[in-house]
Amino acid sequence: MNRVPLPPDLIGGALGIYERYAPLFWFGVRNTLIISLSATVIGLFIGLFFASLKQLKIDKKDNTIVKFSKVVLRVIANLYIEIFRGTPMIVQAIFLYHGLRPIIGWTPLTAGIVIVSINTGAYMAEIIRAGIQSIDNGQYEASRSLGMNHLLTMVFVILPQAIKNAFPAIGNEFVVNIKDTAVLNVIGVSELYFQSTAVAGIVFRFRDTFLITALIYLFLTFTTTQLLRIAEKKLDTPEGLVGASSSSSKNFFGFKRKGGSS
Amino acid sequence: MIDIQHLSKSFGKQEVLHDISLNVQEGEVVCLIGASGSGKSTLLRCVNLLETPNAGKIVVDDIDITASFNIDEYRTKVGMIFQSFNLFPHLNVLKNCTLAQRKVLKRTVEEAEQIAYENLKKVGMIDFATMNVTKLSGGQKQRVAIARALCMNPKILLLDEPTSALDPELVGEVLDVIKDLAKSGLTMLIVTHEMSFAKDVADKVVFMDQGVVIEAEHPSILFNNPKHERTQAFLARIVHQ
Repeated sequence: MNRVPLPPDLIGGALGIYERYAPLFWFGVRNTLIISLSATVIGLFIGLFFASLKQLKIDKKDNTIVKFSKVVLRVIANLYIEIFRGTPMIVQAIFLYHGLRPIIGWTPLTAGIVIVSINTGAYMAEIIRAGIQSIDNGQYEASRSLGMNHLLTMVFVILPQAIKNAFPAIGNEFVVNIKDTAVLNVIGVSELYFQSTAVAGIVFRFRDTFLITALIYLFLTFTTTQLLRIAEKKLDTPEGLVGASSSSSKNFFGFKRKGGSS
Repeated sequence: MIDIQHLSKSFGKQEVLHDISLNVQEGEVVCLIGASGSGKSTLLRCVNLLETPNAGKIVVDDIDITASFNIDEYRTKVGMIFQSFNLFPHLNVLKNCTLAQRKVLKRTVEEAEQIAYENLKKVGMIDFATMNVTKLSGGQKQRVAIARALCMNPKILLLDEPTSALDPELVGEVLDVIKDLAKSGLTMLIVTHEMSFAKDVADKVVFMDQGVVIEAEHPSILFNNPKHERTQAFLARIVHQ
């Protein structure tokens, strides 16, 4: 039915390709979003877990077994973080997908979610750790002095604040994941990049096809960034500079100063 | 109630507390005074085990807290007030007061809130219950911190320079709250630079210098008739300021 040849120029070609193959692109977008969103959320929890392990402190009063298990857990956390931050995700994807397929027989999509999750988890662990370090030690002391143990203190006092402080970096991981899921084409996940190569293969117009691909990726990351920025402001309002009170925010931007208060 | 015996504490090679012995009776208010770096705060933090002593014993209610025991249970009985308040900024005033009650003492929400309201009333902060703690003034923050500690029904309250981070005009409201607590018979150990407050409220004033207790006397004796040279020198400096 598409016997009419595509226009030879970039814009015309791209528009023509989009018109004919839009559903293929959007199927890829769907998978890209499913993987990057779920992997960011799962990765956040993995990160929280490993960041908490790295936080374990050895107390003089601990007995040998407790000391030993703390050391082992910390070593595991460090190994995990170093290995998954220190190797390319494309290599992890091929190795894990093919390595585990004979054993658990997973689909490329499941494998994709798992691989991006554990990769993100390693980065999240470092982001959360930095978030924890940004919290004043007085918070920890105050909580412990109220009788809350280490775990209660982490869960109810330190982590809520650490996550809030680290929110921009956590959101950034999501944006990175939207782009980085492209590498999953090597294990045959039909995400946006994979679909694009399929389309380009049919029409044999790589330049024009990938202009569309680039624009879609840009649209996804731009929208996500804006949404995250709104969410960030919402989180900040109770105490942020802008939200402190309406008059002080005006002073901050220098609007009201000249005429009014000071 | 608190019996500190030959306590020593070092940070690395620096010895900050040297062979401290001190006794606090039930219902007594003891003020620790002395120059910065004399070890007052470290001594206070040892009683709560925020610092672990290197030598000596602290016996509270006939239990040696420096031996191995349930530290979290002990801490519910010993409230701590910090110079920098350390309220939880992600929670409002009421939730600051109910968190530990619910998670540690396993009180129900209603029970915890009722106790929180009672204590907020005591410190005059009941009208601020739903407010974000970051919007409070320093004096208000410290009063909430005191209410938060009282919600655990502590037997002892430790106060580490509770007014040092406050603007001068806010010091009074916090000291008034502490005075009321003193009248109610709560055992308190207070590190302070407010000499007239110490004079008013204390049953015993302890002067520390370079990690040792120089004198521990009733305020009327210590302020009017200090025996030791170093106490005299310190008080003279304070008066001249």
